[in-house]
Amino acid sequence: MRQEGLMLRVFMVDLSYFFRTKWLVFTLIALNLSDMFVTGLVYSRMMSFEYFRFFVPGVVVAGMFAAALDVGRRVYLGLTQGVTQYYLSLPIDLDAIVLAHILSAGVGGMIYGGVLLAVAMAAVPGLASPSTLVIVPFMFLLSMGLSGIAAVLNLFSGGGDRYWVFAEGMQVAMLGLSTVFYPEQAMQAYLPAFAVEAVTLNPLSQVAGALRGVSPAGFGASSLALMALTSLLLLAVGFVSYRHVFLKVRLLGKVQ
Amino acid sequence: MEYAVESIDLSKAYGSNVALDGLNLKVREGEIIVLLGPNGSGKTTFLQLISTVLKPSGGTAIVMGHDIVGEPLKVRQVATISFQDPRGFWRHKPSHILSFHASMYGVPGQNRRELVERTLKEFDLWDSREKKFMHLSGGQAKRLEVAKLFVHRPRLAIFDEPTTMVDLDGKRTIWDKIKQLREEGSTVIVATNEVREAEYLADRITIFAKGREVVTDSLSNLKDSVRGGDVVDIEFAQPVTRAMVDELSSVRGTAKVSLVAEGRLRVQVNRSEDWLPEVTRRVYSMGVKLSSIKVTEPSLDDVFMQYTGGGGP
Amino acid sequence: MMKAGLGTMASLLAFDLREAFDSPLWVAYFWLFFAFQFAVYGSLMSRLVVSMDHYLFYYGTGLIVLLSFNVASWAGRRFVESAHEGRLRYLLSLPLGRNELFFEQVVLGVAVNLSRVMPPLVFVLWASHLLTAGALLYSVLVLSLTAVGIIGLMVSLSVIAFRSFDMYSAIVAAASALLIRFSTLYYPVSSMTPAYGDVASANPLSYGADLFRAVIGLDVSPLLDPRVALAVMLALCVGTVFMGTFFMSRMVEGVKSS
Repeated sequence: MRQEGLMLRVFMVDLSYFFRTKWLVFTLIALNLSDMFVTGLVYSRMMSFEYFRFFVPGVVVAGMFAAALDVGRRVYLGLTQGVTQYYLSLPIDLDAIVLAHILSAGVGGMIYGGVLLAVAMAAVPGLASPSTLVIVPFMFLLSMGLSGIAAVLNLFSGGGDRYWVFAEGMQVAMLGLSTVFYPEQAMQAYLPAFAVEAVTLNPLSQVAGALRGVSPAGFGASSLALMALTSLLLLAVGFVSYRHVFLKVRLLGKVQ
Repeated sequence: MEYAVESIDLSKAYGSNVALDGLNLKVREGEIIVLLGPNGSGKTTFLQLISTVLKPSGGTAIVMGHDIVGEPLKVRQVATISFQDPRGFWRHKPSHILSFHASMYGVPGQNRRELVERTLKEFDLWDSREKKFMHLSGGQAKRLEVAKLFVHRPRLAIFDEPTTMVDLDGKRTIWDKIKQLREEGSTVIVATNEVREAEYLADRITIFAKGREVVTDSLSNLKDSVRGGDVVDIEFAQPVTRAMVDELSSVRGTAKVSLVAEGRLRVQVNRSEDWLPEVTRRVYSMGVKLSSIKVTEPSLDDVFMQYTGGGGP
Repeated sequence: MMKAGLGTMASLLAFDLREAFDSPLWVAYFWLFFAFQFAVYGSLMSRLVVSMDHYLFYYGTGLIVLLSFNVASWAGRRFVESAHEGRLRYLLSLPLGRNELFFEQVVLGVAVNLSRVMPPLVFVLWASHLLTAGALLYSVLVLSLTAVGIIGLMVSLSVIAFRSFDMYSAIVAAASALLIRFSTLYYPVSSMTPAYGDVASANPLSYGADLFRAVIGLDVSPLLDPRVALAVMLALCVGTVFMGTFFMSRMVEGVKSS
């Protein structure tokens, strides 16, 4: 059987794991929808601008991020429950296993983010434009890129319980230092210049900005190009990191 | 191709801990070879090396004509391992896990459903087919782990302790299925701690200790190799005399003669099948009548003790 | 006999406490999370909120209650996980009464809660210029009361784990997300729509947060009535402790362990 076919099967199993983890999906839905329709609406009443319209695209990005990052949890479980060793015993190339995980992160993030985007389009009239759909492939690319972050976490946590600390910390830091919750201008007035620079480069800010900038005329090509570039860079990091993780398992029988 | 597996100075070290130390082991095609050894003797490491789950630190092995270092993918296409600890997708049902496994070895989709159903039934997992892997009992998960190899029947089937946690009926089923696999042309390697399993399955047995192969031979040759391993209890129709003891002690192969009762001797001998005719002849020529003779062969435990110097399997 | 049971309970508590404190990385993360949320998220949101002065302090106090809620939830969840992983069976085999086992869980949760929350609490009180011995003492009492209520609730909810550990996780996680958002942790009832305000007013977490704010002397004008809040928190505490002891004495043997 061709390696592409085998990769597809590993991808399917990995992706289905995300949707089979019902407690996680429930949690994400409860978090994201209550963020949109409770936190967003209440804060709108406390602020001088319509925070809801600003925040809802941010929630889409946060949801997509969480779904894409979940591949790290699945790989962590694979390492601790021995599924990784099982994959390594199958007639499939190491690179194909790595690609299957990255692909499943991309599709998982895109599906979950896509559903949230549909909700957002219904809730925020400005988003309900065909131009919004242009961003979906970029969400796919970015989700694959974000899996790179999960891979780095897997690499540095060594398959141990530290993974959960790293994953939570990374999520809080990346969301907190992005324009998901607050506009860039507010940050420019408060945060030091290097932090604002980090916020600008943060891919979550890029995709949130792209969603907020939707107009019937479409998006700025440069913002999409920057997003694609960041995603590809992260994807490459993810590929190398996961490869390293699996090679380490083959060498040591475990990650550390 | 003479050998299914030929390891050449195969070594594996984890830092300063040497798990496998320059192993040169040959597994013949079509045989069931059982690896017997205490915990930490290197059995699992060897199995994971030849299935390319682990990378050797030194040496190599040729598996079905493919080098585990140079052609790991080709090795995995012909050799499959059933792990010691069951490895399944926690949130999937047994049928999904077997179906996935079959698909990875190119079993056509139209055959898979029927094959999976049959395998689940054969391994007594049909009633648990709706349970998720994480809800299976230890024995069920282990049976599923073993069953994976029966959906595609690899040319080299590797089982690491295939019946731990499995009940007696299940053990017998697995053993029979493994034998059937061999009859259908597969070469089988089994690592175990269970002497009974080794006795039931093995064409040849390899004893491991401290990362090295101590001995490889058939079960009967291994038993025969135990010095004084056969125990012969002889009951005479008259009291034992000094002359009778001296006569038996002088027979080639006698290791020790002990008087256990007035008319009974216990003799430890090397090969009872060679020793008995000679003893019968000499006792007859002495005009002594025998009431009964009982021969007890050495157990595999005794074999193991002889070769490893203790620390049971 | 009772004395022997208390001795076993103390030994178990000491063992569990050692285990709980044997994760410096989690503790460091806990405090870093607080610092980041307060200094970055809280400060930035405070610049955007125009409906109240010093929103940062309102947010900071809400964050303290959230941390307390999280640690208490962890204590309850830990109990269910111990059943899932088979440890509970061992605990049930010890010469320890069921109620003592429940109280051990509660004391553990409160002790861990205070040890984790105390540094952020002192910081928030200091930053809000509200740090006094009285404020600190009352806050500790209110946070402990809240923690006991949440632990009792979470342990009682483990009855769901009879059916499925996954279902328990889903319900607890989703309920926690909703409890937090439909509460006054981050925003007062007066800022909510009437419908949301009604939901928040039925949420014990709102009373815990507002009671905490009241005892430290934060501006009480946007808060729920502190006397009602105290009554609600006491009722929650007594109710969930009663439920917890009932559960432990009658049903705990059936908690799913696989």
